[in-house]
Amino acid sequence: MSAPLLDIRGLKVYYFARRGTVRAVDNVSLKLTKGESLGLVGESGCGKSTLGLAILRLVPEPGRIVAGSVIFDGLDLTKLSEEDMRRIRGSRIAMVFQDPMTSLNPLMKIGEQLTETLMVHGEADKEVAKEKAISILSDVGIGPERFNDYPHQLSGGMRQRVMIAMALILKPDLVIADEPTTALDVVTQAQIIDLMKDLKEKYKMSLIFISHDISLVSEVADRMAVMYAGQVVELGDVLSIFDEPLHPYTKALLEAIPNIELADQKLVYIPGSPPDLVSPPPGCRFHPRCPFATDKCKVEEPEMIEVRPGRWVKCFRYG
Amino acid sequence: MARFELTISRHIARFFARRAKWGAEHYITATGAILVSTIIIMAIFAPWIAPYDPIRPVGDPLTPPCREYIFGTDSIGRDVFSRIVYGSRIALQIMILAAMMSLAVGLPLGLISGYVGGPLDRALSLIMDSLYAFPGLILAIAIAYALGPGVINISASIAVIYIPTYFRMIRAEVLSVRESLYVEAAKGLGADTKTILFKYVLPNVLPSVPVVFSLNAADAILTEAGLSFLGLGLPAPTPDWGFDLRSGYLYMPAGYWWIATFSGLMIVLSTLGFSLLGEGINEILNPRLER
Repeated sequence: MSAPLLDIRGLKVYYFARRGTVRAVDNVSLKLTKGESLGLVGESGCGKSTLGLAILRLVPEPGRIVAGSVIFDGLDLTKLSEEDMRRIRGSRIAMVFQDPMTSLNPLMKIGEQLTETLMVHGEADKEVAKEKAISILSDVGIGPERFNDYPHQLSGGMRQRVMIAMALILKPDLVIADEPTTALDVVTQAQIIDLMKDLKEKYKMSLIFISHDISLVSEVADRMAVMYAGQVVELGDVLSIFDEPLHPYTKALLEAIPNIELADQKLVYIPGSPPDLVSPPPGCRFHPRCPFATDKCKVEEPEMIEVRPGRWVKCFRYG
Repeated sequence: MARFELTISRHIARFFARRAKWGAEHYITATGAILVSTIIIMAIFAPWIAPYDPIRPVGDPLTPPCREYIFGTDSIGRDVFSRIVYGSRIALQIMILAAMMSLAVGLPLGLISGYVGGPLDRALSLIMDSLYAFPGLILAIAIAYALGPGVINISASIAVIYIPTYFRMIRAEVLSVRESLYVEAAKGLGADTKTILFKYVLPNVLPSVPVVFSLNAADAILTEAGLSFLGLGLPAPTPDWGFDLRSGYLYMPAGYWWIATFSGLMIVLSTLGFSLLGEGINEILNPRLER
C-alpha cells in the first residue's frame, strides 16, 4: 500500500468552555489513501464535524487541537503557519458545508464567488477564471446562464451544487463534505450523492463524507469510521461492516435503520443518549447504553484492535 | 386613438392612486419625505429661490413681514426669508459632513473591533461606551470650543457624538456576520482575511448604515443649531438658523417676533422631517418593527 494521503494520529480536539473541557475529539487515528472515500458516521455531538474542521484547522473558539498530528501528503498540518494553512484550504483540501441555504454570500453572484475562490489562490486572469467557473458549473449540472444569479435565486439543491463546484474548482486532493445533504429533500439528496460520486471519479480525489445517516454513507464511502463520544469505535470497509458489525454501537445503528419490507416492525432505537463530553463515562464510553456491558467495561477503556486486516474495533468482546 | 388615450389616462390614474395609497399607509414616511425634500430643494436652488442677498442689508431694519420681505427683515435690514433659504445649505452641509466623518471613523473601527475581537475589541468598546455615556451636546460644546468656528470644525465636533453609534451598530452586525456559515465556508476554501472583510463582512453590514444615518440626521441639525445659538457656530454673517434664532430672540420682547419665529420654525420642521423620514426608513428596512 502506498503512503496515505491523510494520516491522522492521536488527534485530540478540546473545547475549553466555561462549564468545563469538552473532549469533542479524543484520540482519533485515521488513514486515508489517495482516491479513497471514507464515511464518518455517528450521532449528533459525537465529534464528527469537529474532526472535519480540525483537519482544516478551522475549529471555532474556544476549541483547540491539543494533541496529535494531521499529516497530509507529508506535511503536518497542525504545525503549518496560518498563511500556509490558508493556501492549502480550498486548493488542496476543500470543505462542503451542511447548510447550502446559508453557505453562500447572499450579496455575491454565484459566478463571482466561484471566480473569487480562484483569485484568492493566485489566478490572476479574470477571463480564465470565468471560463473555469463556467466549466465547473456545467460539471455540477448548472448552466452558464446562472453565472450572474444571486444565491436567493437558486433552489437548495442548486445552491449545494454551487457549493460543491466551489469546493472542486481548484481540483483539491481531498474534499471534506460535512452532512452535505442534510438540509435537502430526499430526491435532491439522491441527486447530490450521485453527483458527488461521479465527480469523485472524474477528479480522482479523496473524500471524507460526514453524516449521521449510516445508509447514506454506505452509498458513497469505500470505508467507514463509526464515531461515538469523540472516539472512533469501529473502522472497516463499508460492506463488511454492513455484513457483520462488530461494535455493539454499530450493530445498534444498523438495526435502527427502518426496513421497508417489514412494515409492521417496530422502530428500533438505542436507549439513552450520547454522554456529556465534559465528563464522559469512565471505561468504555458506550457502556451505559451497551447491552453487553460487563464490569470490566465500566472501569477499563478498550484499545482499538485489528480483528482482521483492515477491520478495527474498540471493544473487549474481540481480542 | 381614443382608446389609446383612455389606456394612458387609466395608467396615470392608477399610478397616482397607488402613490396615494402608499402615502396613506406610510404617512409618517411621506410627511418626512416631503419636509426633507423641500429643504433639500431649498438648499440646492437657494440662489433662485432667495429674493435677496442673505448677508447684505437690503431694506430698512426690522421691517415686519410684508409683500416685499415676506418674512420681514432683521436688525440690520437683511431679508429673513433669504437667510432661511441659504441657512438650509449650512444645515445640510454640516449634517452630511458630520455623518461622513463619524462614518469614516466608526465604520472601520467597528469592523476591526468586531472581526478581530479580544483585548482590542474590549478596549475600543470601552472607549466608545464612555463617549456614548457623555451627554452629546455638552461634548459637542467642549470640542467646538476647543476647535473654534468653521464648517469643518463644527462638523467634527458633531461627528464625535455619533462615532459610537456607528461603531456599535457596525460591530454588532460584524459579530453576527462573522459567525455566519458563508464566512466559515469562505475560510474553508482558503479566502484570506482581506477578502473576507471586504467581500463578505463589509457588504453584509453596510445596509445598517443608512438607518443609523437617518436616525442621527435630525439630531445633527439640532446640535448644529444649538452650537450656533450658543455662539460656537459659524462666524457672524453666515446665514445660520441657530445663529438667527439667537439674534432674533433678543428682539422678541420689543415685539419683533418674526426673526426668531421663522428660523426657529425651520429648525423644528427640518428636525421633524428628518426624524419622521428616519423612523419611516427604519420601519421599511427593518420588518421586525412592523406589527
